[in-house]
Amino acid sequence: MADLVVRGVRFNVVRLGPSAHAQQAPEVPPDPYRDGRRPVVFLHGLIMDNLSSFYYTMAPAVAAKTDTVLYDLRGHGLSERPMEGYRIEDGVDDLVGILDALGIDEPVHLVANSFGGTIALATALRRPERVAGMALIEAHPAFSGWGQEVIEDLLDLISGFDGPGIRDYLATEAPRTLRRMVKTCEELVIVSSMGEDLPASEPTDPDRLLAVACPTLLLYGENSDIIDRAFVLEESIAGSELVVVDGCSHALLMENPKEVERRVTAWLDEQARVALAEEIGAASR
Amino acid sequence: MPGPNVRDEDALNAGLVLDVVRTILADVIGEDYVSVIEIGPETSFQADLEIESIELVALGEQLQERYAHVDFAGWLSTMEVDEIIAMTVGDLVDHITTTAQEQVSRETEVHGG
Repeated sequence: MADLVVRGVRFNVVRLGPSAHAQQAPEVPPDPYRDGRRPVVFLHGLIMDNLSSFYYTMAPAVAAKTDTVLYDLRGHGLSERPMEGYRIEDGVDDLVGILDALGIDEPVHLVANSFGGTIALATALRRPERVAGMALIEAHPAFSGWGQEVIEDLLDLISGFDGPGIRDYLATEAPRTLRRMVKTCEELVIVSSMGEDLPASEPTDPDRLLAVACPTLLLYGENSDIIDRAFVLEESIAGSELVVVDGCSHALLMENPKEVERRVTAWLDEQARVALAEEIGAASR
Repeated sequence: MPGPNVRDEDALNAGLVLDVVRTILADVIGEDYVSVIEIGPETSFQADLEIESIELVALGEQLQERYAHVDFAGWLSTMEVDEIIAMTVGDLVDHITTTAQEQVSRETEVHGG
């Protein structure tokens, strides 16, 4: 784990990789697609989320095979919380800045959850040369009006903290984790410029998404409240493949982490296999 | 004959490991919230320290730097989130000393005792 200062903000970055413990696991067979693999970068969700949701789930399995980066988004987890810079475009620039600081200049695979997917899709449009492919879990594309909707929902949530006795409870008996969660939410939505920045971000509407050229895995829960986005993304992105997981909601990653891991690692294997086959084909021509 | 390095020998001593864990915890959680003195093997990460999941990651990563023989991310990923949160400081110390002991045994075998 290391702190990286990018665009004037301190980011909490964790880099995992296959080298550190490879010698401890001689029983693991060699990876046939090793030379076709790209670095993987994980992007977590909005407000309540941080890199731990991937660290505790599929990140170690992915890191067993390839260079893997997790970081807390600006204002989240253990990264610094500046008062501005919360447009989606900032999220893209932060991501590219972190890759530059780590010396990763080849295209990467982005594995993203919810709002992380918002950033991933914008990155594929704005910096396509940095993205080899995307595995998107319950992605929120920033269709026009999306930012306003998100902020209104969050403001509704925050107004709930003013219900009878809730402030007293938070100030006295509430567990530290809950107090911190409320503080994070209020600081980001009310104090920082996020409330203005998300609605002012450049939308990624379906017609723009036609330009996304990289292979894209779309994972959604059967009962997700945003399942309609899944079908629009599938239609707009030529190289996309939609998987709907039975019995899950928008909280798919937390509800069925093993299934998400199985789908994402199989997709990453397939991307590596194809890349390797293309390389061999090109070399023999 | 190359023996286990000094850091690994430190990792065999539960008392020394506990001291390291205490210091890192105070750093990660903040000393105004947790007093180093109060942390013992029975201290629960959730019930006593009210640790956040991201702080546990930070603890694991710092321990990883200190004890190179332990794959914390891999170990944590074998547990359910509930199990991780229900852990005590002693469970973590045990894991570090046990894996260090296993490594020393392996190296002893390799080097013929």
